[in-house]
Amino acid sequence: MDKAIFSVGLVLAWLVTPESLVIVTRGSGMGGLMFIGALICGGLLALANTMVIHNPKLVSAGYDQDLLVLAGGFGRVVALVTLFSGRIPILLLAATGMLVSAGFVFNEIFVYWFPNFLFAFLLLALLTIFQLFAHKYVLGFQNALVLLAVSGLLLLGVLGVFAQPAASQSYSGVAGSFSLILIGMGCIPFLGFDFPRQAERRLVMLSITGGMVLLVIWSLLAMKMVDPARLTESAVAHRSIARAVAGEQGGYLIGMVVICGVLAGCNALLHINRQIFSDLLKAGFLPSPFSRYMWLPIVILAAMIGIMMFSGLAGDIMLETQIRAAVILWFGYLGLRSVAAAHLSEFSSLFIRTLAYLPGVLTIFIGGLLMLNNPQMTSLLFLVLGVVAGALLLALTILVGHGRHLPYNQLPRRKKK
Amino acid sequence: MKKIVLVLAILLFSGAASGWAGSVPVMDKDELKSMLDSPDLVILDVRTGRDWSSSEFKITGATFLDSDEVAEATMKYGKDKTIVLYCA
Repeated sequence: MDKAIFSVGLVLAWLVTPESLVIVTRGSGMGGLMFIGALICGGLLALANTMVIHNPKLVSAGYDQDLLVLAGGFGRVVALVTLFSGRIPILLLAATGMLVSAGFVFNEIFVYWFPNFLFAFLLLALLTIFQLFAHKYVLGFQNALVLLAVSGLLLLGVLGVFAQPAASQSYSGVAGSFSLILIGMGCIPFLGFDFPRQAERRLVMLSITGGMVLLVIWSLLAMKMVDPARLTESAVAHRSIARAVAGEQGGYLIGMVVICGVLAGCNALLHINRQIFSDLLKAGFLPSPFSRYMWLPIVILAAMIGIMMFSGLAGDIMLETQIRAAVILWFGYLGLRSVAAAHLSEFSSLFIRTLAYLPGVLTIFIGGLLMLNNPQMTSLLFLVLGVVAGALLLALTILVGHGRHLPYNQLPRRKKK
Repeated sequence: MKKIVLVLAILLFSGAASGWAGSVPVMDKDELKSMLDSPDLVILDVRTGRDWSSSEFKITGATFLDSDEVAEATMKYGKDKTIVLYCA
């Protein structure tokens, strides 16, 4: 099988997580049909960024890793800080929250007597074992999980066409107002488009378009079946939608979607973080004996997630704020990567060269917008600055500790004009 | 090496899961179930974060309460009531 097919599972990994489903149901409750426009804007921005980030010319010029692209565009320090702050916090925090959510779903939908936290730990153990001992199957596993989640959502969408909303439900999908915040929310489910490595650009774009259609269907279904107030306030509105569509079977279906979505999202995030350390090694940022300990980052990251779950972080109201901060940092990472890619692509036409910067700049702008318009802006700002400071410390430790041996000249050279 | 890592991973996850019960005294669910019709029983749902937002279930008759307001609430209900709090 062509390896390019694995990029589909990675592109759609974040999109099928309960985090994205909650954003879609909340957005549908807040914005009504306007949120469809926001989702389309989010999808288009992801497509535009894909055009720049997955530019085949960039790969053929030797910039085949995000680390090299960022280092080529902004230098080593910024590259490492951006990579660490954009990739690691979202894994640690979102995985903690999502695994616990999956535990509740399993306990409340499938097996009442099974402890929810035990299920969350079992999922984490399964993912860690896959990463450590069956790494060659990780991407196949990823595609299977995404296929199951997408099939479940599509089936609910089809059933929803024939379903009648409850008598008390007044169809108010046309209500709502369009705002920049709504556009920001519409962008969040598409964030995973940057996951695939050396992907076939058309396949990535096709996956994003498919994902956009899926979320539009899901948003319309939400507006049809559930009251806007519940959509806006509840973090489990997707379960209400599924049950309204297909009763108890709908509950089982969404349960499967959530568990597969959580596994897919966490698996993709673990995979990407594993790649960071592999890239650091390949680019000479880590000493070569480290190659024997490639399992160590995964064990440390999984243990950190386990400790955070064990410490009850999921039950802390601060977790949501922390996840938002991690998402904002992800926007920052994506924006900078896209700007760096535009800078290195050396498009011949001045117009295209200028235009290529636009998606990255817009992505950074939207990330900033989401932070400035959040009621907990100060906490978010401190969290973001704290993570960046931590990432800077880690970057400097790597550079100072191994700096003299850094083969910085391994970076692909830009053509001189 | 791989075997050692596997054993460590299993120990880590099984230890974390089994340690969940903690040392806080808890009321048995059957005990609570037998008391559900009692007029002297007050059940307070003090779950926060995802423990609250990710769950659709709640104990019949439970009232949601912000965990910061527990002391105030126990004063409100008086000492003759059996107050049961659950947080997960």
